[in-house]
Amino acid sequence: MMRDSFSTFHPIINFTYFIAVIVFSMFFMHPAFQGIAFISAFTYSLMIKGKSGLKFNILYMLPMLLFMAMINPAFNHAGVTILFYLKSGNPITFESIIYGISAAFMFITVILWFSCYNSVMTSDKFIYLFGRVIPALSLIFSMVLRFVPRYIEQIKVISNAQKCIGRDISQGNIIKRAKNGIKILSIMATWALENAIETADSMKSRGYGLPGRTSFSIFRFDNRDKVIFGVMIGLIGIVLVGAAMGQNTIRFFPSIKIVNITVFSVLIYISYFILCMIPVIINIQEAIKWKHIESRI
Amino acid sequence: MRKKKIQLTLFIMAILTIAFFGGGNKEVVPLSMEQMEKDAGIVEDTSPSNNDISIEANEKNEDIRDIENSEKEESKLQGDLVKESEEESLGLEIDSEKKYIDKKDNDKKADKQKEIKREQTNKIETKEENAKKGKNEKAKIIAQDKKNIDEKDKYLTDPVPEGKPEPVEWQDITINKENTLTATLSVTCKTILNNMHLFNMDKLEVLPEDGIIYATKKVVFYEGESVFDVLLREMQENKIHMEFVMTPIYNSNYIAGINNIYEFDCGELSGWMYRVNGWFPNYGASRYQLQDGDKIEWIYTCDLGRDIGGDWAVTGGEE
Repeated sequence: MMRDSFSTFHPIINFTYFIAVIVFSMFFMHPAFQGIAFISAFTYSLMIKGKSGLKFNILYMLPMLLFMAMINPAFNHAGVTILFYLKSGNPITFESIIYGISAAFMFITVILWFSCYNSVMTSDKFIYLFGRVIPALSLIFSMVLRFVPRYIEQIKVISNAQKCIGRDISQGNIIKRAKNGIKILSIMATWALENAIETADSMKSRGYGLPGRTSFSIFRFDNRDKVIFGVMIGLIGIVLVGAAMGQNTIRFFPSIKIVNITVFSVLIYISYFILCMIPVIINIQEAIKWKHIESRI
Repeated sequence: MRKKKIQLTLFIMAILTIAFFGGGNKEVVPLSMEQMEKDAGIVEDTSPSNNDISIEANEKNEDIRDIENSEKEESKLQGDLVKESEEESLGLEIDSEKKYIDKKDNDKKADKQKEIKREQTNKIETKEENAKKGKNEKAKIIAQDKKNIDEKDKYLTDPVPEGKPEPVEWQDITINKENTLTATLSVTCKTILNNMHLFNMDKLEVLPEDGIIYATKKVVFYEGESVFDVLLREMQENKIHMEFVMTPIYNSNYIAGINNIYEFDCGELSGWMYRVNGWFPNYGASRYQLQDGDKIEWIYTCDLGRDIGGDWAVTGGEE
């Protein structure tokens, strides 16, 4: 696991990057694009999360991928290449299998991108960007995104406290355990309601959403940010030109058809690859720089 | 603030109006008489009363087609619908029937030369009449539907007209494999050729040039089998793609697509319908038990059956 220096850039760069890659990997089903997006998302998630990221990918993402690839041909029978017939009489086609695999890859890629998004775009960054434009919505959004991890933490705290007086779900017979579990949940719900009101009150008393209020963190849009932002906008432009020319999509039904690969399409693939790999490139470059400085000392 | 809001509302309304009036050409051209006749070519032994009805329907369709043709001509003269003319030429290219082309050409010339003014007035009148008729018919159908609500069977099928076979439930039928009978089967989608402007262009490669997916052929079936059973077996044997879905509420299989031409591929009112001995049943294909010598036709519609003369089955009950 290495230090992620992409997240030290200005929030607007992080946000633009993630919006671009997530939207692109959702809409561009061309195999080359999907491959590029998947490889980049996978590499970046490994870079940010290290071993736990790998474990998550193999334990949850791989079975999900297989499941989703299998489920599509069971319900979708379109396509000209009939491989065999189901017992009911409906055909299984080559196109529907390929479409299933492709859709599964797309799904996994987007999930990976979102897991990277969550660790890079912290809630203070999000509120820095949108706190003035849409104060209420951005607060709700950042609170919602924090819901699950926060509740899990709090449940652990409550459960540990209950353990001290012998009332945890791991203590007693089965009926008692169930009772204890419900008790913990009720404490949890009480805390959640109270906490929500307290947060709202405290935000209000500190003047959240009023004009002239500053953010918790202060970011500066310096030269480094300008360069990266310019490069990113240029790459996004090239990819969008490719999309307008129909280079980025694939037709699955009734037969698979993709646009012929030309020099221009290779150029688009390369720019998409660089766009997706921006954080990885920045991190590697930063690591090399660090090593260099270290060796000089 | 209020001014801005009003401006915004006006803007949205303007966009909606533009979308409503300029939302592309959705008119459906029905099958011509020749095309229909060619469909029904071989079998002559359908009941006479039935034939009369179908001919009447054909004539009606013909009238509507003429009117539509003249409309098209006019719009061409005005020169504001370039797209349509393109599609027409496309349709002509694909259409293999010379007769049809000739007729169309004749129609056009005639329309051009003959008194356009009179046509116009006529058209307006007929349009109004049609609108009135349509309204009346709609009201009638709704009233009848309400009246029939108690008469429907448990699978929501309206009463079948006299002399037509009643639906049977496929669960109750035992197929007698020893007794083989014959029927004729055909699968066509000619109405798409008239409505290329509605067709999903991705599917162009699976559309046969003459609109015939499975030419009329004698097929063997076992006693007790349904229209659906025959279609499924023949499509599998001939390696023609076909997808269906069981619909429990109508207790029948619904044919979603044949030869990769699916429902909704030619406008939102399109899909597959079936006709046995010249009649479009108002119940599903799995519930129609075949008799010896039956003539089965699977026909693609772009307009809920109105373009192929089978709208009764749809307005009376769901396919």
